[in-house]
Amino acid sequence: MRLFVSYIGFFFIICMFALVGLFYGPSDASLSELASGLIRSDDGPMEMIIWSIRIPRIILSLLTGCCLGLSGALIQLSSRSSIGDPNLFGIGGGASIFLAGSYAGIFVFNEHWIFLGSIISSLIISLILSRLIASKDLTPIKLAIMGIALGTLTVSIGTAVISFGRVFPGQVLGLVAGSFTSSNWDKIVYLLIILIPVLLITFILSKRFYPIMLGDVLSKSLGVNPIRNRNIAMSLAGILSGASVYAGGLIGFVGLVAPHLCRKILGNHPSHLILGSTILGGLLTLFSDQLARLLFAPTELPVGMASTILGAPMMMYLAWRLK
Amino acid sequence: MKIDISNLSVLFDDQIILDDISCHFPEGKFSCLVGENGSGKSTLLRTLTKDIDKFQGSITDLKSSDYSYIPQNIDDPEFLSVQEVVKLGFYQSKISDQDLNLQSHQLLKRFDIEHLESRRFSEISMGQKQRAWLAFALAQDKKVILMDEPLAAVDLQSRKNFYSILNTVSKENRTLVLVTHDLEIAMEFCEHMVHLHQGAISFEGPPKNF
Repeated sequence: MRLFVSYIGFFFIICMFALVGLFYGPSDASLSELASGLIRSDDGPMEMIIWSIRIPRIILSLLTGCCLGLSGALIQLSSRSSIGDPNLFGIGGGASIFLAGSYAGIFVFNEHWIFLGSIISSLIISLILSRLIASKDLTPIKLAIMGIALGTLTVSIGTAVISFGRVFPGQVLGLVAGSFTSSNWDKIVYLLIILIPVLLITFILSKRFYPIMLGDVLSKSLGVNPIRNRNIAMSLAGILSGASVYAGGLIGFVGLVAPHLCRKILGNHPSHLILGSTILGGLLTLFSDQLARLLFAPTELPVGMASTILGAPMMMYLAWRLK
Repeated sequence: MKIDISNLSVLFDDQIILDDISCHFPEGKFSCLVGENGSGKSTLLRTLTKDIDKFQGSITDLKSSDYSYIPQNIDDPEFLSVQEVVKLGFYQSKISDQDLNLQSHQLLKRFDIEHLESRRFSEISMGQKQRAWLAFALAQDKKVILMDEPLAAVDLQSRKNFYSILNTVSKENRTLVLVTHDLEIAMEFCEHMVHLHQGAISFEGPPKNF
């Protein structure tokens, strides 16, 4: 019953933020004008604003957040680290290097290949991390420190790559600090193609990821191969994280906060952790984007900045509780 | 299930860790493997669990479905509560969610830690953690339980309690082997003792004969 109420609650909060995203913005249109833009099918400016700018942005920020939340849950499950986050640990940074190269004109691909390239670059970093976790002496805290170093390194390389080309500052900022200003329906389709199958696979396998939390020796004694299952979980996390950076740039802390919030609200059951982290990731990112859009409107903040304001104190709290 | 070890030798980098040892651990008894640090007792256990696979001699072939193993210095599992750790012990048994809750509760109750079941694992005391790990091992319902000195940082009274629990657990037709350097308490509670000294066996038998 409590679970049911929580999910309904998430749904209503998301709807509320979506309405805010739909009806508030820099165009100063009245509610009735916007409402008619939503329904009417002529090609007026209001219809353009609603259907080509605001609605895609709401959906894309939601889906990107879903990817980040699920990716964070997978990383925390398989690394046993409470501060696991795809962008903090450099997995998203892999995709940002690739995208930087593409923005800077170092290589020219069409959109399909840019999307695929982002995913593959993140996948590579996630498999490197998975390999690191498998080495025996790496405690969760050591792993976190190495992950953060890897994260900083990837962002630096990405920034270095991007400064080769003459790129608009807005594009650079959008990549390293996150932005949904260039949302469109194509990106939504790309994200759905990734998110739906990965979510299904994670659901099916989620029970197998749980024993990994006890460490490699004990999960072996429960008949679960820790290395293989961790490779699977980290690959899924890498794919999701690459897709999220392609859609919205590097948005920090959503992947860290969503699973923790989910444990607090829904508990630790595998299927609720997976579903809840996905939904809460979406909710947090949608909220961060609305904050970024409206806080100092018409000037927009990077969405990663808004999510960091929420996430950084949470990480400090978690670090405080570490032993 | 009886464990037999005959003429076992283990070498690390040309250094002899275990030198042609033969011993056994009987079924239904609480056995202790004692010795000083570096005497080779952990190596013997890790050979049984196939963590070490280069050796000479013969040992009872233990499959992962035969034994549960609690290693030395286990990291606290992040995120999990005491009850969730014990529940994971039932991972391989196909029981309903309701039975899972009931049985894990009963195990915790048996070791007097049922009031802690919803606490985070990392927040409970060392002595309580040991009992929770034992509950986790028992949940797996295997014939052999191997424990590597899970008592390092615990006060004397809790250690004695834990040893007497182990003694009753071994009576359920289990082979229970505990590695420890605590000779005095081992002699008080265990029924079969193997003493290692510099990679060789210096005593095997009931502790009263030591």
